[in-house]
Amino acid sequence: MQVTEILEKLCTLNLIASNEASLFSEACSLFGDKAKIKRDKIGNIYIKIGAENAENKLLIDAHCDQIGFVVTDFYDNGFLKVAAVGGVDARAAFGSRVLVYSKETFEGVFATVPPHLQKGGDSDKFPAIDELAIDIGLSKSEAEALISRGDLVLLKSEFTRLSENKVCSAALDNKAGVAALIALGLKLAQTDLKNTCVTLLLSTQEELGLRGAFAAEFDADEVIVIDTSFGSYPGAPSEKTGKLGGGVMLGHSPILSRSLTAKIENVANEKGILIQHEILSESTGTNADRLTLRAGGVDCALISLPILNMHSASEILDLRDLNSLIDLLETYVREADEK
Amino acid sequence: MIKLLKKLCTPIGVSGDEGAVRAVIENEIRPYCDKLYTDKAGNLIAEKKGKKEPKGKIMLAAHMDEVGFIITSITDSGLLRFNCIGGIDARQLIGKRVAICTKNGLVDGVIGAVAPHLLSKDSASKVLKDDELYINIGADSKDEALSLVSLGDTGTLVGDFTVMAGGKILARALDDRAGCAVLIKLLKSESEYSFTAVFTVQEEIGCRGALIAASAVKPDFAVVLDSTTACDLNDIPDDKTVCALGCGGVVSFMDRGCAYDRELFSLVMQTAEDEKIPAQVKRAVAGANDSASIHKIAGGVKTTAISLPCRYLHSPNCVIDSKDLDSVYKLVSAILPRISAL
Repeated sequence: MQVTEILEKLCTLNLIASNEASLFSEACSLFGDKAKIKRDKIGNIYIKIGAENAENKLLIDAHCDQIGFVVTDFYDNGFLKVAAVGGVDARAAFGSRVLVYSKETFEGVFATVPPHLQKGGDSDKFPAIDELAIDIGLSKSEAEALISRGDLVLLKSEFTRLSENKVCSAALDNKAGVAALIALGLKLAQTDLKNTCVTLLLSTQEELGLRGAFAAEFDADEVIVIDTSFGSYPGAPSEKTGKLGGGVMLGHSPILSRSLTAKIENVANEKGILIQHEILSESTGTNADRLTLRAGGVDCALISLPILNMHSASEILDLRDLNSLIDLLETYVREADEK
Repeated sequence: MIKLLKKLCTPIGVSGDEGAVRAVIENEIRPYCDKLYTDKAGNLIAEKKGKKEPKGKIMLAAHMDEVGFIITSITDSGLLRFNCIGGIDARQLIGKRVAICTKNGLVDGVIGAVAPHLLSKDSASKVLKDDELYINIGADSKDEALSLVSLGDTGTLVGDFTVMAGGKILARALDDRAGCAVLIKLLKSESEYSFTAVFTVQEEIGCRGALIAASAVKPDFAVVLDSTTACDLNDIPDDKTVCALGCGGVVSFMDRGCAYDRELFSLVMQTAEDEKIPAQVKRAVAGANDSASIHKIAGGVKTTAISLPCRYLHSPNCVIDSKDLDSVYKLVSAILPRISAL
């Protein structure tokens, strides 16, 4: 299965934290008996490939949760009140279509006052999330019968191929990373690893403060974290961004392992895989911040995919970067396995 | 009527570029008209013969165009600059999908913005206007972008046609394809009295098409079928809602473009009462429609407007109640014989 197909499939799933069951069954059906797959109590998914007692133990992490909303209450006219789950961009939410995941899925829209009736100043600011209301076209009694407090809500988004290399969807942060890991796992499972056990960790609740990474239990000498980062765009600081299609972004930070990072850079250079450098002072804002804090410590590297419009329903990714990432990780694992 | 409305909402017809919408309407109404033609501005004009001729000539109008944007230039990196056409709240733009009409068909794009993570709190909450934003169509260079779109191409924000759980309709361009749907149904029905139906262009940029069409048609009476802004939302006090979904056609006594003919206004409300057809008076002097042009041509035209109450007007996610489509259709059908006798 091509990584693009995997990604497209993942983009149809609602993976707001606490809702990872659909990803677990998707992973089980994709891997069959080619990998050992388990879930822990917080909702992390572990996909183990290679020999259990292998000499090299590598963990590759990609958070699988996505941002969204949760229904908190009903307004008197039947509209829904919500709270944010993760760092929702209030700009991207404004006036957007949504899907409310109850026993059935309901389509609705964030209510807005149209320009004709606005007063001066109304259109100068975005409403805060707790001022938002979702219109699902039902009265309060109808809504209360069909929808429960705690139901999850996503911005409606289609997976779209914008051009040969660019795809657009909500939550490419970090379904792109998850798709890369699944594609990598399926490749690695084709031929036996001799001395290596690779654990793919699809961790939950990253968007809520790296909580899945906090809870994750594993045994590894090296950790590679896969996440998304910021693509170049007019008005974005160039030192904090990478060009889409310019290769994966290799992280450099005081919390990351210089030696592991250098090893990965060497593999990329030898194989001619395009990379860019992302310099992060202090923390990285990714699961690397948490996964490194283990008894005795662990070597950790961070590789990110540059995307645009992060945390909107229209993130954009370059498929060349996604394929480079899989190529880089596979080469790294195979070379380590030979040594 | 929902099936017809979906057919009408599918094509994109930004002001000045209504051809695709006109083609769908022409196709629908051709067998039901006695004369059908398009004027130089692009207005589609249909004459419907009834069993009798009215005392004064009656014109019905609904506008085909919708709000959207036009591509103004392309950057070296292949991003498109654009200007909005019609009154679009700039807050609707960031992160939204767009479809651009090009000579090679529709091109998908996204209105991008720098991620909030990279901005100061003030910048991250700042409303950016159309001329501060770009559309990304996935092109890596100006040449690649120019191979897909041309300067002057128009497009809209994307909003699929959806029937919601309670039967309400959520879609782009209901303003004023909903009015067009009612007018088409009137043309398809048997009519006691003759009338002229006009599907106008360029309403959203100053009711220009209606001025051109009405000047040629020279009616004595005009009935404008548009969509008007319903503000029956969660946090709006009842006296500020203007009108509400499900309560029937919205009849105006006055808006920003027209002081409506009092006799016709009373006639419409009296008809609704007599025939027990749901109707509501627009409870605000706000907005405008093709009446703004029509009522003041060549000595004046006695004009009334009956509008579909519509939430989130000028967004890609308008909401109407299909019950109101039926109410407006019934009400217009019922007033035509009465106007014919005036």
